[in-house]
Amino acid sequence: MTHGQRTAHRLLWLVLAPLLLLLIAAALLGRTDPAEGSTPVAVPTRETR
Amino acid sequence: MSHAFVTVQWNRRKYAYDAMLIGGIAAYLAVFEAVTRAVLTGPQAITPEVLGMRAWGSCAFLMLTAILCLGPLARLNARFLPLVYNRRHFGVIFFVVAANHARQVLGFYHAYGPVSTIDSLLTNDAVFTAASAPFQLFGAAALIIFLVMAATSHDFWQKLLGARQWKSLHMLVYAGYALVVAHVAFGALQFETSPWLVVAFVATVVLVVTLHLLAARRSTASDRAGVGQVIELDGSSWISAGPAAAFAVDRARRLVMPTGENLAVVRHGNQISAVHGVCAHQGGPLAEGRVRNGCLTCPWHGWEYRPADGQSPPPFTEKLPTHRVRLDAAGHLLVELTAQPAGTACEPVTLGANAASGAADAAVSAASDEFFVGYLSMSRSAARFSLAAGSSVAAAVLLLGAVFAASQRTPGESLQNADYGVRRTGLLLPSPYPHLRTLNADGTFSTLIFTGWTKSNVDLPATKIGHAVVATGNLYERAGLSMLEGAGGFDAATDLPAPDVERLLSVPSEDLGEVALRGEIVDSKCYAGRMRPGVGHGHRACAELCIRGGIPPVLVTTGPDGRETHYLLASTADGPVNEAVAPFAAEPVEVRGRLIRRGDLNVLQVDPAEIRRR
Repeated sequence: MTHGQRTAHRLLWLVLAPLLLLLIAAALLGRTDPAEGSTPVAVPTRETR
Repeated sequence: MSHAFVTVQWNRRKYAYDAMLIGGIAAYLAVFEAVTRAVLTGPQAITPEVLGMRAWGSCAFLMLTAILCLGPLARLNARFLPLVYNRRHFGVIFFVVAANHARQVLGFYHAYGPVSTIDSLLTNDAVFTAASAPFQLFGAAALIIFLVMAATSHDFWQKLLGARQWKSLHMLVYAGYALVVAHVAFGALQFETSPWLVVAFVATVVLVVTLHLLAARRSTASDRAGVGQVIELDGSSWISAGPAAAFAVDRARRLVMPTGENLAVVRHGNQISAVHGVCAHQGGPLAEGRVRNGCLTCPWHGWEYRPADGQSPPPFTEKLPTHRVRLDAAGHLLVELTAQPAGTACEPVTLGANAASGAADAAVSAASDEFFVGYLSMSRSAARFSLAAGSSVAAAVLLLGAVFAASQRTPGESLQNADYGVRRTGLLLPSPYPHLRTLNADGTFSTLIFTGWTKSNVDLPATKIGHAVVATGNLYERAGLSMLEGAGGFDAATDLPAPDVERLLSVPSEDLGEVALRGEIVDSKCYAGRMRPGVGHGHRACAELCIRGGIPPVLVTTGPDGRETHYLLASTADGPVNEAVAPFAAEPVEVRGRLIRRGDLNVLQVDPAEIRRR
């Protein structure tokens, strides 16, 4: 690679490294399971009727 | 393409490399499927279509990870170079695997709906939160990048674009990788909960990042160490490369110009020359090359250049810029800063007949004296190392695949009877969605909700509505929700006693009042078992298309004990509410409405304005 490409390559990974890890952290911290916090109502079922 | 170009130049090593890749992919898919089928069995089995998407997708991700690791590994240790030799084939095969993953996703999740596949892909993720980020668009953008790279991975394009532009274009792989990481993080990781899966995924990203940072650090240190001292002499600028006698025979050494560009200073026999340090093929580091057959040979793919004039030997026509060289009074080699036009012959420095054979360099390089050229036979030790390294990479990929497969979340338990052998007798009713109300032996009622074969619903024959019929179809059941796929037949049920018909007609609607429920809106067909898993963000596109196509939408809540309850969503006038609730599919929502108990059915009559994302 040319000097410019090698320099760009190094800079790119210096930027990409924290960016990727931040991206994963954001995705993991922000995830919400739709089932969490559910509030089912006690309705009679076939078994309980 | 010009007739002057040969499509692919194969050799035995390339055949072996590709055969191992394809064999490895087959092994990966087999391991992933076997582990999945062993872990999730019976009513928890994952639908084959989803299994295929996951197997090919995870295989593509791990192939990309391996591809990205090979470059820095070879920069850190030249013995990995044989694995880089055929990396373009690796890349193209990776693209085929990734494209097959995309084909399956588009063919199942984004197809058979009321809008086109492309419309579905572009519009189904309208909200940008972690739980509903447009992860499919990230994947699509990455695939377009990989398509461009695969399409230009031929020597024709290298020649057309030139090494510099071609390499710059192919550095887009890093953007593609970032998009793939986002695709997985905002896609699969939003549904999967196993810490093992998260750890395995993060470990692969950390590995790629760490190897690139280590290689970058080493490259920076190497550049700094190779900077020569500039000297003005006879009206031109020269750079000192150190004692000429210290250059090892038939080796090259890096010399860094003040501009940062690298030169390759080459000693062939007792003659030393200097040429541009970047190979005209793919920009390989010629300073790490060796002299073979009198030519400086690139360590990446074995392209050759004559040291004195920078020209490739006939019939090849590649040329490198050259630099004039001379010795100073102390026997140090001086290289002129100004480059000569590519292919210009420059008089080499000739050392005395008794010149040392580069003891200093030889000592440095003794430990790694083997030099790999892909089209020549490999030494036994290099072959052993390559085999061990390749096998280790393959074993790691298979192990990670097994971890991914074993860590998959259960899709929930459902019953599937897809032999079209189910016949049910009951009352045919149209609202809020087409269904069959049946009478159980114990006097209770059951509801069979209808769905079409694809992402649509069936049209009920008007003359049969409100009458007793026999309906046929595939039966899916989950948590008390029963679906009849491909519902049809509707022959008049002559054997249903009149009192039973009366009872079916007189099922009361019990108003349980206003409620606010939190849960997930799903399409009842996939949830009930047609697509397992039929819930979660990864299934969102399919759920939205199903609901838009007429499949009854259902709100699913999960109690602290894991027990699921479902509520059929209807309008306040007890009609369909598909279009209004479709945008909320597969997301955490809170729904307010009036709960009606009708037989075994929970109907939640909602005003769509009262639905909000959590």
